[in-house]
Amino acid sequence: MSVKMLIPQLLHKYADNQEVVEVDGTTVNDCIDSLRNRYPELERWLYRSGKVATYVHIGVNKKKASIDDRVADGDEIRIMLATGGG
Amino acid sequence: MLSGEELQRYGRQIIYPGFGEIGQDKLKASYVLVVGVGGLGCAASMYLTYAGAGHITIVDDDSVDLSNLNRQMLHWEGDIGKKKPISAANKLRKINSSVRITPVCKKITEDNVDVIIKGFDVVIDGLDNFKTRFVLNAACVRQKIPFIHAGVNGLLGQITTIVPGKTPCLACIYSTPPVSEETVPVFGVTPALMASLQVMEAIKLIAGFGETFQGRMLYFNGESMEFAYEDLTKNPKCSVCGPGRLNAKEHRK
Repeated sequence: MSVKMLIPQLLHKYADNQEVVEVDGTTVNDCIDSLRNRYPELERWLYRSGKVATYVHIGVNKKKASIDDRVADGDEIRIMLATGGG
Repeated sequence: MLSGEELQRYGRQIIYPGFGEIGQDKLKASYVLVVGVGGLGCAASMYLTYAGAGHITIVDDDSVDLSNLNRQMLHWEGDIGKKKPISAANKLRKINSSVRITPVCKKITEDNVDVIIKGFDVVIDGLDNFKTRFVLNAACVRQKIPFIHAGVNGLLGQITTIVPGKTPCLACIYSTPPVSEETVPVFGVTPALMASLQVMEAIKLIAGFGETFQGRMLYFNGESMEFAYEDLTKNPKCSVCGPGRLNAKEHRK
């Protein structure tokens, strides 16, 4: 199952300067884990205590999605940081 | 015109090239709104007050809680239970008695936001959730008021300066409001850092010098001490600032 991950610009340098990375996974969480496994430097931006951080804002095929949503072959996952505390 | 006392008080910033007495005068004449008087809002309103921003209004509906005291510098042990704008205004007036501080103990809603922000030169985001930020962003776009957005989580922070008609707005950046957690982890230093940057942006916007974070977001990661940028793009179909939407009040709901 191949899913496209759109990498935010600020994280390109930790993902081999790529904007789009194809990963495998059946849920959004799987795909982000797969991305992190390939590019471990992303962990410090996207994870807290080993889990995908709650401030990671996720869209699947341009629609708001959550970490546990299932994804299908050809889907596109966009991740953005959204730190919302004040 | 600045008095002799003001020239002395603000002397160290007045000598900054490009700012000068004219910049200080503009700051003195300015009206700044700080929405949220928590970690971001306390630090932002303090630095605005120290810098001599002439009229500062602080808005929040919350009351001071013990769990706020690790970071919200204007709220002290004796203030627990007081409304945050009242608690903060008492200290700000002691920091600089020449600044006019107006506390507003209200929650920002769709119904009151346009009245609350009317007439301000700059709006500073000290909010703790994206839902209200979206309401504030849309009102700033309608009234063409620069909106300096910031947010924090733990040791991570973000900031961008939104100039309606010129830069992408918050709804261009996030097509839907990101989920906000009930309790966000935070050290006091993170909002203090982001708020310092927000005030730096406000001073430059008001005095008209330097460059601001327009059209790009700065991210700070305190755990690894990294700063990173992201260019922001306007959404041509943005429901808030897209073509024909400026001043379109009917689109706000």
